[in-house]
Amino acid sequence: MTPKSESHNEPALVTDASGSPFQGVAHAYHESDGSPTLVDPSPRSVPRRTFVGFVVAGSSLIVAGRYVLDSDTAAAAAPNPGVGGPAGGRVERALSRKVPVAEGATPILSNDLPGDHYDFMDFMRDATRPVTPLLTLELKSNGRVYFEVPRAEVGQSIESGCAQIIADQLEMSYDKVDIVQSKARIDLLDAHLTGGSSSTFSLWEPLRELSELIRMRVIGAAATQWGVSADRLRTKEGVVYGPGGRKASYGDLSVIAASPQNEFVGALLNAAIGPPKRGVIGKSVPRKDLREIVTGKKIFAMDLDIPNALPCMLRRPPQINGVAESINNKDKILKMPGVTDVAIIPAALRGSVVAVRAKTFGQCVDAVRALDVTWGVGTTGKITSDEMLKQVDASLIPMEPGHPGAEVFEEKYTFQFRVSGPLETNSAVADVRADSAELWGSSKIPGTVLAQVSELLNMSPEKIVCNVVYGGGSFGTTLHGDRFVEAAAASKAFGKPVRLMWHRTDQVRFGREKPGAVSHVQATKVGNSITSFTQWHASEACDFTHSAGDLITAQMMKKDPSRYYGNTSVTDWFYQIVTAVPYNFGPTKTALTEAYEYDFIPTGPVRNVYSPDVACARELLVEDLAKAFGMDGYQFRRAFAKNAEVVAVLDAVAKRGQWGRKLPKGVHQAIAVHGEYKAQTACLMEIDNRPKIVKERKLEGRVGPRITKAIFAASMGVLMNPDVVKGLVMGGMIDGIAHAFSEACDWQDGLPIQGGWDDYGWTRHWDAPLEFEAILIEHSSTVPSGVGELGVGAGFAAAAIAAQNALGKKVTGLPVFYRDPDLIQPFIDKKEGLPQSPTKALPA
Amino acid sequence: MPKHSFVLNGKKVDVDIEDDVRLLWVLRDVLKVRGPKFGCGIGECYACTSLINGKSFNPCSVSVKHIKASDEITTIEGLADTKHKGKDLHPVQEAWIKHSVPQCGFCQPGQIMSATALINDAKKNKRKITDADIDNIRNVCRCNTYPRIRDAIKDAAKNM
Repeated sequence: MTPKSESHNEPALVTDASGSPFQGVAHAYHESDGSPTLVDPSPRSVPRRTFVGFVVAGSSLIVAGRYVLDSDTAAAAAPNPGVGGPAGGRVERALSRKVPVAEGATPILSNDLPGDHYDFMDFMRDATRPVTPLLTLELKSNGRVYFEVPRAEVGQSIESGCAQIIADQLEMSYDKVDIVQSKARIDLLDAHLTGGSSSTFSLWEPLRELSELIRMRVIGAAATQWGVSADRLRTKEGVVYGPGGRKASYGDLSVIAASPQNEFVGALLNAAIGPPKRGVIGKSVPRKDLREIVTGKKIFAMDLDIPNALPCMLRRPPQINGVAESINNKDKILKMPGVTDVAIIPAALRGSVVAVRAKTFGQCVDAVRALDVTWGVGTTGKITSDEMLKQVDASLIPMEPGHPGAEVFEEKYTFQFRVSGPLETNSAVADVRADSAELWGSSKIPGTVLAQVSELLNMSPEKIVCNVVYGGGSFGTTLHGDRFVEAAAASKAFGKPVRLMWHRTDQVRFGREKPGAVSHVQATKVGNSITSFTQWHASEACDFTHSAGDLITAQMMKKDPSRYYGNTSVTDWFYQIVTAVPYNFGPTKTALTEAYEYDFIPTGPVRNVYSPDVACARELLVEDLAKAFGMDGYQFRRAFAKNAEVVAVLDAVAKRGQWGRKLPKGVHQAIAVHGEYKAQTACLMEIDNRPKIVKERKLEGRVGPRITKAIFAASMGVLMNPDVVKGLVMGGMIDGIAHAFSEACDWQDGLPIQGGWDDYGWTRHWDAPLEFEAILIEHSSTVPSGVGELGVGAGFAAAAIAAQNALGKKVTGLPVFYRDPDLIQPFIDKKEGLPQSPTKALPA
Repeated sequence: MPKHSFVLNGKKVDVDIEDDVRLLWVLRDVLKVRGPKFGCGIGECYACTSLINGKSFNPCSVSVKHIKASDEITTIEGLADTKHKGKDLHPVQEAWIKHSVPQCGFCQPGQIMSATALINDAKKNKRKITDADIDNIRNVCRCNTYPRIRDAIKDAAKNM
């Protein structure tokens, strides 16, 4: 048997399959002359799920592939060593159940929750598999590889990650892999969705298989050319090497390996099973767009030059979902400098707005401010945060009393509304014609955009093109197609192309929000055990009607009579498959209830969705439990940890962060854990609440206490790019600081009173920790974990506990400094609609 | 329409536009210079930060009529050419690359310009950059790359 190479698996080149872990894998190339051939595998030993390849007709090498399922029951019963681990669920469960025994603690094993077996990442992987044949990977004659990725690049480095996966498997230079964001495609159904931190995980297998297929084709082509056996050839850095010093570049071989017609290669490839080759994966290669960013050349939606697409901005109502009944000074507006058009158009959610088109955005602002509009209050009315949270609280599942003889620990935690607010406001270019439309903008589910714009324009989706552009952040906002709906409506009303851009003030007041929530948590204690854990989480309705991206579910979720139940059924399911509890607390249960309809106010799955609040509430109650056991936060969590990965991340942060070190008075430590996206995390923070520091900061209008140090540990799967992972968890963790301290939309009279960056408590340089470190532990070497949202849960919980320790009183309402008089800034006047820009802010 | 002239990234430019149009829109909508971004338009987020005669400012908050013909405006596009002959990128840009600072990148042109102005000012006044200096930078980053910006600024200062 030809021995397997140590650095990677080469099932396709193994000449004798017996004894190999890939028993039954057929050869892609015939041993003697390297010609492609299908070898019938032994029916008893075919793996349950396999990948077959095609070459697509073209002058250069283009490949595609398809997953096939084996109906052989014997094979079906065999363990699948592929993605997701033996049960298809969280990898770390298979790895370890043993945890250290601690004195004074007798943990009772808790039951698994649905997400322990099948989570949203698994759903996205499975949604991507059926459409894999529609994804093609191309090796051009110049040696560059090209892939259109059905994902949005919004800062999370998916573009670079895809290039790494391909370059690694193909054994070529990362710099020669070109990734482009795919336009909207109806045929991709629910596989064109960026969310749930699932992009790398869901594309991992297909990209590796397609890359390996290309590699095998060029090897086969070289083998044929040189008249040698394929197993005597090797690949390295984009070149095929053969005996006698022969070599040929991938580019040159591409033409030979191509096919004038679609060709079924018939290879049963399983390149995606097992660890990656690590020629490129595992290295901190730079982002593809790094140079463009630092030189100002990276193109976002408003940087595009689409002919005749002039700036367009909106006047929104005085209350959310209000209705524009009439424009009373249309003639005057049209005479203002630069203005070309003005009209009432439907708002993306409910109600309507007034759109203005002008030569410059500043002239749009002038016109918007000068508009005299008669407004109707609309169906939501003058709602307030307090009223909404009262209804949310009323929707909680009643908590059972603790069982007799148990000591009951119970608390309700209230979370305010927080806007998603990426730095790039809702921006889209739209060019609507009589029987076609073209759109440009950042979208994480462009399929749904086609559906919405199709409905708006009464135009077949085949006539609409939605081009996906780099996003300046998203944090859940670009899951919804609000920008496209309004841009298309404006372009249609004017009969001209528009560059629509929301103002910052509207982004805060009308942009998608993380809904407010009340989380009711209860744990019962008997002796040294926690004998039950229950968390009922109630949220203001989170708008999931972006659906998974196909037109059918998108429309079904919104149609009567299931209009609102459709959304609730999705959110209930989603909550169940993303929520887990990292402790052995005995019988464990958790569920979500929601109040209001999904479009009562604009909400959406903002970064980490429900989990930041769920984690924060749970971890705050755990602090009470630790106290009752006479343990500190680290000892208690460690004693009741559900598995060894929880222990590992706790130990990592405690050690690096010097948990328990002697601290000056007024300085405190905090620790918290959270698991999601097939990873386990822990965060240690230090907070400085010393009077001198607090006083100085408050004088500047800043939050008094400051997180000075933060150590974050993640136990995860394949570390694609350590630099990127550390940056993303850092970013998510600091989101947590904002959630904990100051970030909130305070709804009054039907709109948040906040309207900018100075009155909305987002983090700035002065809030970020002075010392940060991320420790990454790889517990699985075969599949990657989700990263984009990973930092938020434990970051929020740690910051909230830090605040609680610093202030010396229980924290049950977040953000801690909500409505703090010291932080109240002059709020942007709602009556003005949009604020005017200063005129002479020049340096001294 | 009134004519306005000024020096942009080393070249003289002329625009015909109303007096009260803010410089940011003159740059983006008229001159198609798109490095400076719109993050708020009201001088809060600093995403549009550029330099006027070497000092940082927000063009969203200055009407074009207040810009003199002799004023030298530098946007991110022109940074590499300033005071750094012969090298490809400005030391701050190089530090940004070395420390893998950006994520979505939308705020970074403004962050880089603010950082450059801060370091130049510190050098001019012969003082070191402190953590308090960096704390006082108002540029917003929604991706929260702040700790890496801090490291990059300290590193860049060593090379300027």
